Amino acid sequence: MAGRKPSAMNQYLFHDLAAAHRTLHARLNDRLKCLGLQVESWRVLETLSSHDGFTMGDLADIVLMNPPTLTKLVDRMVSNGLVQRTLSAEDHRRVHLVLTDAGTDLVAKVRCHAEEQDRDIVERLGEESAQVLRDALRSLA
Amino acid sequence: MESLPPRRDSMTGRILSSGYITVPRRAGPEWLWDTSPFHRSSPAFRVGLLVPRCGAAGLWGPSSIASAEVAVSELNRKDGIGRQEVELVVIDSAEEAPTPAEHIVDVMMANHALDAIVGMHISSVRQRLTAIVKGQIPYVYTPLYEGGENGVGVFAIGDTPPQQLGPAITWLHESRRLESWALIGNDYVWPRASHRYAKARLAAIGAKLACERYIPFASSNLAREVETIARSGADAVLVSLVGQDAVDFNRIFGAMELDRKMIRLSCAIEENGLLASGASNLKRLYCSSSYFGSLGNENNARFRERYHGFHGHRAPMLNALGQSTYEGMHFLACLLEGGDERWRRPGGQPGSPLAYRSARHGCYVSNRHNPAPTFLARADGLVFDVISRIA
Repeated sequence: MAGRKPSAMNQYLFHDLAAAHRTLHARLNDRLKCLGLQVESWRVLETLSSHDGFTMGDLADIVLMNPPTLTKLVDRMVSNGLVQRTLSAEDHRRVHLVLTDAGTDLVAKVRCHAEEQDRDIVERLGEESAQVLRDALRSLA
Repeated sequence: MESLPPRRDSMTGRILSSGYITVPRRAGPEWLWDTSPFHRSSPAFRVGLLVPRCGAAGLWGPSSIASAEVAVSELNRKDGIGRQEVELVVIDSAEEAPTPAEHIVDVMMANHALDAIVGMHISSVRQRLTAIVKGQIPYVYTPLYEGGENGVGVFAIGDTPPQQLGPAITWLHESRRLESWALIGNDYVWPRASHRYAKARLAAIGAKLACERYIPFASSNLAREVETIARSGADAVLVSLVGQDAVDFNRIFGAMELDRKMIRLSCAIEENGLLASGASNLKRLYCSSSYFGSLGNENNARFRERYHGFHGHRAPMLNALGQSTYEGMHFLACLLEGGDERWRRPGGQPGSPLAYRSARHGCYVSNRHNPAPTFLARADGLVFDVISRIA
């Protein structure tokens, strides 16, 4: 934040939050570039790796994206062979999203970068402040 | 190259599949200068599996790899190919691939790093590949296509317009009383050649051609093209768009509620395309093919059991394009059986019909003629309902 010029926006806490998010988001994007991924595709990969059977609606809520943008992203991830759509075994009217073998391989590689970034933040703030920040942010989300 | 370890049976430790090597997705030209990854560490028979791993046809990639893996596990449980264990090298053969597949194949052949090719990709890529391969190694081209491939050592085992498209047009014309048709396709050889065939068939049965459109892959003009088709007054539209482009077409078509007044026919929309399009965008959509994932015959029942047993809950949706690599691998093994070099005969013809293992009717006669029965299916919700055998 040191480089930012003083402005009327600085009096707002939510502006600081937005600025911090932008910086961290850009940093993670840089890390993921070598794997040909964006932060948003990492969120999808990580979410789908936790369990199978997410619908597009479930996923949109978790990865913080609006449905049309998410559809475009998932289409691209399907074309790149990372994610696939399958028919729900219980209900043939529902489409589930599942990682492919290639998507499962990739998620392990991506996770290292995300974990490293998280560790950097915790190191910079200290364990205690990091936990305070985490609690505070969760109460706002 | 990235490699996946062989899969082994957890009970017996026996190798089920030899694992596969993947040419990195982002292989740039500089990657090809270092040929050391091509050197073989084992005496395996190495098959280049050429499937799209990005772009419009990319949604066919996972099922194509998954189906070939099942064939490899079956072959390796027996004698492999020519008594050698079979190994797959997966190469991205998308039109949009960062390094064109023919460059990779060229360098690999020069380094004696490939024994054969099984390709499931679009025809424009096949044409560039045949110019490079020139009959040096056998090349099995597996998907449906426009017909007419006659390169030495090139075996096209998929459906062609006379058995797949012609009977579907006639069946729909007769049973749905369709007077005029619109044609839309991507701008390359398969849609254009198929549509030439379609126009001749339409003229023969006395139906009118309402409009004919060709668009580049991932065109931003798709919505405008759909509007043109809507204004053309056609009763039916033949959709020869590839993969994601067909999905985008269906979504726009459904959103404009054109399914109320127009039927759609496609030879290449498969089960993954249905799921991506969404059930509300699939009303009155027909597909003609010699294979559907739900086809009820003994060969398919056996294949489905093995496929799902092998891949478990992460098995990609079964479909005609995916299955084609399964039978492509078995066709190759059959072609090379006994090592009699019959694949080198002039015109790429093996001499007599070859019966091989397939999930449909596996019999190869020539690149022009395929005796497998053809079926017409209609989308029902998110799945295909096979309604009639048409050829």
